[in-house]
Amino acid sequence: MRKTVLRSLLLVLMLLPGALSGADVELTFWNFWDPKFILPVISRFEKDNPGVKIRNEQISWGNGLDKVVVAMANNRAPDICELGSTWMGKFMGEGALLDVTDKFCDLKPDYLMWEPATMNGRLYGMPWLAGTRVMFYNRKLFKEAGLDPDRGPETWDELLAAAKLIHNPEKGLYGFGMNAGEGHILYKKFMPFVWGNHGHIIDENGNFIFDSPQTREALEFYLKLKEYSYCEKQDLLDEAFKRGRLGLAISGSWNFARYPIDAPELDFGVALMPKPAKDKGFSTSFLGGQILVLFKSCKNPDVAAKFIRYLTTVENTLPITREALVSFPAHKNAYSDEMFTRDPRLGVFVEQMKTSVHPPIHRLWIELEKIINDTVEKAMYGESPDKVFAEAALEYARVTQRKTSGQSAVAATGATPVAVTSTSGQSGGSTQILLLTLIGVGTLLNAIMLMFLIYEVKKNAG
Amino acid sequence: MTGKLRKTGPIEKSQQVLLFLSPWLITFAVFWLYPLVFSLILSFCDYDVFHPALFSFAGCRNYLRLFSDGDFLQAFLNTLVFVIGTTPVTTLLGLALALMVNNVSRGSQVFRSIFFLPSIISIVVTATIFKSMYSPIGALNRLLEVFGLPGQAWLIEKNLALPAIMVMNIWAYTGYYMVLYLAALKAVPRQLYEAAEVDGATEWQQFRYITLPQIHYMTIFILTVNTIRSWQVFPEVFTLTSGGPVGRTNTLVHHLYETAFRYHEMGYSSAISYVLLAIIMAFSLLQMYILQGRRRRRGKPA
Repeated sequence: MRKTVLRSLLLVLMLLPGALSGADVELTFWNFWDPKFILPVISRFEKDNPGVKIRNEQISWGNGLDKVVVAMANNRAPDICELGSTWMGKFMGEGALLDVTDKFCDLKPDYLMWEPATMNGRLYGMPWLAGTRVMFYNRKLFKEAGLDPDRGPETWDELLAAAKLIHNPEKGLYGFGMNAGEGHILYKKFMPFVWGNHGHIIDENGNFIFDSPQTREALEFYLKLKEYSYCEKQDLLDEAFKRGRLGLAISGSWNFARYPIDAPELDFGVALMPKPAKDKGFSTSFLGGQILVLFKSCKNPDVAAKFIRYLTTVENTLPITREALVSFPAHKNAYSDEMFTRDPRLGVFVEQMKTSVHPPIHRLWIELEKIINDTVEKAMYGESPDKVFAEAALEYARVTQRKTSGQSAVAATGATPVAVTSTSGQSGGSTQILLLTLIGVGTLLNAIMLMFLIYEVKKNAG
Repeated sequence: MTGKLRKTGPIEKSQQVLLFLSPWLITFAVFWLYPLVFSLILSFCDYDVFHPALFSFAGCRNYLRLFSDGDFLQAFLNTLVFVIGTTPVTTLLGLALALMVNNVSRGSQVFRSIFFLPSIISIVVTATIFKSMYSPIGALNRLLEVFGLPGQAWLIEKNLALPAIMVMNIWAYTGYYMVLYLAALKAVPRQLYEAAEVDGATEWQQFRYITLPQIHYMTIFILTVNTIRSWQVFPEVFTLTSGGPVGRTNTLVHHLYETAFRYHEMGYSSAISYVLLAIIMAFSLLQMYILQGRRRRRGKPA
C-alpha cells in the first residue's frame, strides 16, 4: 500500500513540470542567435499552437559543432537544430538527419539555397539564412590613387592594378586585405577566384580535381596580389579596413552593422567580385548559410516542421537579419524589403548571391576544407605550386583511404548511424566500450584501495 | 591508548577513513579515473562518434600513425620549442623579480600586485589583447617605429609567430611564479643572513649558499608545475593563431583538440593525449630525479 502511494507520488512529481507548463509536445531548438531575436518568435508560435513548448538554447560558432556532435553521441541531440551549411555534407553523409523531403519540398520555389540540404535527391533540411562575401573598397583611397570611386575592380587585372596603386606600407596603407595565419577561413576568400575561372574541387563523379590549370592560374594571381596585401586574420582585416588602412578587402555584410556606427567618416563602397578577365570566367563568391534540420531522434517531426515553416517566413526572419546583418533570409520575397533597396550597397550582396557558389556537399568536406586551406597557405608562404598540389593529392588519398575503410565497414556490418540506434538503446559498440571502461575503473579503484589497506596494515603492525 | 587502537583493528579504521574520503574518492573516480581509463581504451580503438556501432579494436594502429603524421610531428616540435623557450625564462624571471621585490624597502606590495596582475586576467582575454597588439598596424609596431625599427607581422610571419606567443606567455605567467618564490623567500630565517654577514659573506655567496638551498623545494615544485603547464599550452594558441601560419604554432593539445572535435577521430586523439601524458611524465620524473638527486648528494658529508 505504502509502496503504491510512494510510486504514484513519484509519478506525479515526474509529470509535474510538464503538467504545470501544460505542454503536450516539448521540443528543443538549438541555434546560434541571441535569444532576444528568437524568443519572441517562439512565444508567438506557442500562442498559436497551444500545448506546444519550444525550448530555446543558444550555442556558439566556436564550440557549437562540438556540442551538437557530443550531444548526438549521447543520444541527447536537439529536436530542431540550426547547422552551418558547410557542415551539412558531413551530417547528411553520416546519416544523422531526418529525411524531410515530404515536409518542405512544396516550399522549393520560394526559397534559395536548397543545394546544401539535399543529398541523393532527398531533402534533409530547410534553408533559413544565406550569406555571401563581396569586394569592399575604400572610396577615399580610390580617389587619392586616381581611381574611379564609383566602381570597384571588375577583373583580376583591375584588382591587381588598384591594389598596386594604393599599396604604400611606409604610410601604413595597404592595397588588399588577405586572410592569413588562421585556419578554416582562407578558402572562402580564395575559392571564388577558382570558381570564377571555371575550376572546381570535386567533379560530379566525386573525383578530387582541385589541381587543374584553372586553380593554378587562380593561385598564381592570388600570389601576385599578395605582394600588395596586408595579411591578417579576418577580425583584424575588418578592423584595418575600418581604420581606412586597406584599399580593398573581401568581407561580409556584418560590417554594415559596425562601420556606420564605429567609423561614420569611413567612405566605402562595395562591388561584385572581379572576374578573371573581361571575356573570361564570371563573377562569383562564397555562398554559405544556415540550415534548419531535424535529427533522427526528433520527438515530433510534424510539430517541428510546422515550427520551422513558421520561423523561416519573411516576417519572422527579417527582423533577425536587420539587427545582426550577418546573413539574409533564404526566402526570396525578403529581398523586396526596403532594407535592401534603401542602401544600394546591400543590393550588391543580393546581386552577388545569384552567382555565388556553395562549397561542395561532401561527406568529407571538413577534411577537404583543411586540404584547400593548407595548399593555399603553403603557397602563400613560399612553397612551389607543384609541391603544394602534390601534397594536396597525397593528403586527399590519405584521408579518403582512412575514412572509406570505416564506411565499408558500415556496409559490411549493416551498422546504422547513432541517431537510428538511439531508439533501440545502446548500440553494441558503446556497450562494449562502457563495459571495458567500467572494468578498468573498477580494477584501478580496487588496486588503490588494496594499496591503501596494505599501507594501513603495515603501519599499524609496525 | 595504543591498545584501544589495536582493538578496532586496521581494517575497520581503514573503512572509516574510506568513508570520510568517499566524497573525494567518488568525484575522483567519476571525473578523473573514468575518463582516464576510457581514453586509454579508446586510444587502442577506432571510434567515430557518428557511428558508435562501428567501434572496433585497432591495436596499436593509432600509435603507429603518429609517426607518419606530419602535423603531429610538427606540433610536437613546436611544443618542445615552447617548453624549452618558456619554462626556464618564467622560472628565472620569477625568481629575479621575487628577489627584487623582496629587497625593496618601500612599496613592495605595489610591485607585487603589479607583477601578479597579468596572471589573474583570463589567458583568453590576454591573448585577445595581444592579438591586436601584434598586428602590423598594432601597438607593438608603433612602439618600434618610435625607435626607428622596422615593424613585423608578428603572428603572420612563420618564424615569428611561435616566439610571439612565447613572449606573451612569459609576460602572463612570470608574476605567478614570482609570488610563489616570494612566499619561499619570506620563509628563509633571517638569522642565517645575519650569521653570514658576520662571517663576511658577499651578497652572491649569501644567495648561493643560503637563499638557493633554502628555496630548493619551491624550485622543484615550480619547475615541475611550469613544465607540465607549458606542455599543455592551448588557449593562447587557440585564441591567437589556431595553429597557423602553416602549422608553425600548432601545439600538441591544439592538435589533439582539432583531431577530436573537428575531425571526430576520437581514438587517434586519445592516442595523442596518452603520448602527451607519457612525455610529461618522463619530463617530470627526470626533473625530480636530477634536482632531488643533487640535493641528496650535496646533503651527504664529503
